[in-house]
Amino acid sequence: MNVWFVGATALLVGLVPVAWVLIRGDILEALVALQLAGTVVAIVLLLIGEELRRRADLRPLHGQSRAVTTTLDYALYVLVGIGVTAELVACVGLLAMGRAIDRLHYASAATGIGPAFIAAAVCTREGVVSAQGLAAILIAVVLAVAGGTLGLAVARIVRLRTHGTLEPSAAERERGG
Amino acid sequence: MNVIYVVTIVLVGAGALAVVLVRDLVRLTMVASLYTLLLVVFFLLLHAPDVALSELVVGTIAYPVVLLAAILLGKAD
Repeated sequence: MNVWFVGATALLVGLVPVAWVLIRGDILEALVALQLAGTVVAIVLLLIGEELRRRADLRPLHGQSRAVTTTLDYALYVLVGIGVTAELVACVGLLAMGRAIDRLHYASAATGIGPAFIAAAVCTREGVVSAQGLAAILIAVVLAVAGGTLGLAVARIVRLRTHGTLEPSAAERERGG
Repeated sequence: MNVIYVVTIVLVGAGALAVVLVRDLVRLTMVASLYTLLLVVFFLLLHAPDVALSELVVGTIAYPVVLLAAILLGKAD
C-alpha cells in the first residue's frame, strides 16, 4: 500500500460515522451527512485514480533493486496526510455535533481544506501544468464552489424547517445576527 | 489482497444491509445514494471506470429522482 491507497482507505473508514448520522439522525442531519459523504467519496475517487494511473506508469528498473524515498515522496506524505486528516476531522465532527446546522459547518469545511491539499499533492507529483495537475485543481475548485452553494442551500432548508422563516428573530437582531 | 479492497467490500455489504433495513422512504433514498457511491469506488478499484460512471449517473441521479417522484406521487394519492 502506498500513500494514495492509505489515504483512500482512511477516508472510506471515515465514512462510517457519516453513515451512522445518515441512518440514525433526523432527516435534516441525514441531508448534511449525505453532502459530506459526496465530498469524501469524490476525494477517495481522486486518490484511487491517481494511484491506478501511477501503477500504469510503472516500468521495471534495471540495476535498482529497491525503491528510494525522495524528498518529493515526503512532501506527498505530508500533503496527502493533511488533506485526509482534514476530511477525517470533518467526519468525526459531523458525528460529534448535536444539531444539523452545527454538523453543516463540518460538511462545508470538508469541501475546501481537504480537496485543496489533495490537489496540491497531485500537482507536486505530476506538475501543475499537466493534465492530472490541472484536473485535480479543477476538481478542488468545483468541490469548493459546489460545496459552498450546496451548504448555503442546506442551511436555508434547515432554517426554514426549524424557524419557519429566513428572517432573523428579535433576539437574534439584538445579538447582531 | 490490498486492505482497501477488503474495506470497500465490507462497506458495500454493510451499505446493502442498511438499504434493506431502513424503513423511512426518504431516508432510504439517501442511504441508497451513499450505497451507490460505495459501489462506484468498488467498480473503480476493479478497474472498471466505465461501469463506475454508469453506476454514478444512474444511482446518484436517475434512481433517487424516480424514487422521490414515486414517493411524492404516493403521498398525493
